[in-house]
Amino acid sequence: MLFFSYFKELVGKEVTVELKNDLAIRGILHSVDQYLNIKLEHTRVVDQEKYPHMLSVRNCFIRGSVVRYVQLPPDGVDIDILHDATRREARGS
Amino acid sequence: MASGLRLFRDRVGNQLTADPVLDASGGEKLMHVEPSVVISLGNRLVEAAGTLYVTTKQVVWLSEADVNMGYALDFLSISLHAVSTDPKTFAFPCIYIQIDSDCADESSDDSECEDIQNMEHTDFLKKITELRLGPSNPNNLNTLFNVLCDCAELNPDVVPEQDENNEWNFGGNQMSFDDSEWMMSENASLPIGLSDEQQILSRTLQELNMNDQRFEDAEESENMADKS
Repeated sequence: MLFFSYFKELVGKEVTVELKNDLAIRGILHSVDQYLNIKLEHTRVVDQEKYPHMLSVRNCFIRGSVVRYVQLPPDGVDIDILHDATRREARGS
Repeated sequence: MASGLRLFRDRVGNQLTADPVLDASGGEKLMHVEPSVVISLGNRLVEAAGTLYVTTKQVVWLSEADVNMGYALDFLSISLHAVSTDPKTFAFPCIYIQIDSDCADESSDDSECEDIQNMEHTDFLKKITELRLGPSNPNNLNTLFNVLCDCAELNPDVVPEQDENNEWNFGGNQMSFDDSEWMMSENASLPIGLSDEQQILSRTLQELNMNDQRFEDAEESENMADKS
């Protein structure tokens, strides 16, 4: 549940979601669920020349299992909190 | 797993308005019906409109002109869906769907699909990676989008049993990394940042009533935590 809890903290921030098929979508994180399905708003495709048909997509729902990476906003990374959270996770608490 | 797009002909009765046959015993329920929806498979627009059925397991489109024509797509095969409103790529505002099919990565060389015009060609359907659904009433797009979100969340991937201890599965289907991977990062961080971390986290660690050595080994730390 660590990732779920963490991503919930990022709601409202801009992230870039890279899919396993190489498509990368930048947008405001609207919501995330326990399966790490991700809903983005105000999206834009990073490589617009390669994916012109995605230009008009303004919001989208991405299945958690097709996500390869989520690029985080620097101000959304609090190392201390993450240290603590990973330790709790490792303890299984 | 991800079976991709497939033919669907099982209607309750032979009428064009008949609902699709659902897997009621498996708990499948109809969540939304949207009449007069045009569909495009890849870049090929299907001439006739159809009725769209969103169930708890799949999206089914049944032609309103041909009782033998219909397609279905499991939620497990939907990578993403979105509202798209670009007349250049599709004449109608639509729901754009990306399909994750096991066959999609295989050669998408059109020459392999000689029967390319035949929309009923199963191999052809499996290779389709994009789908567009344009309801005749574009005001329903957001409703449709939200229904698809809700139903997608009902269909998480089946996570394989995590009985193999040190499985490295970055980029796999697992939703969460198992403990051993966190342990690795813990161990890596201990030798360099121990004292700093102790200071930073001392208050937290006191709360947790434990000390850093217990992080050196996952099983050990669990055992000791149990004892304490």
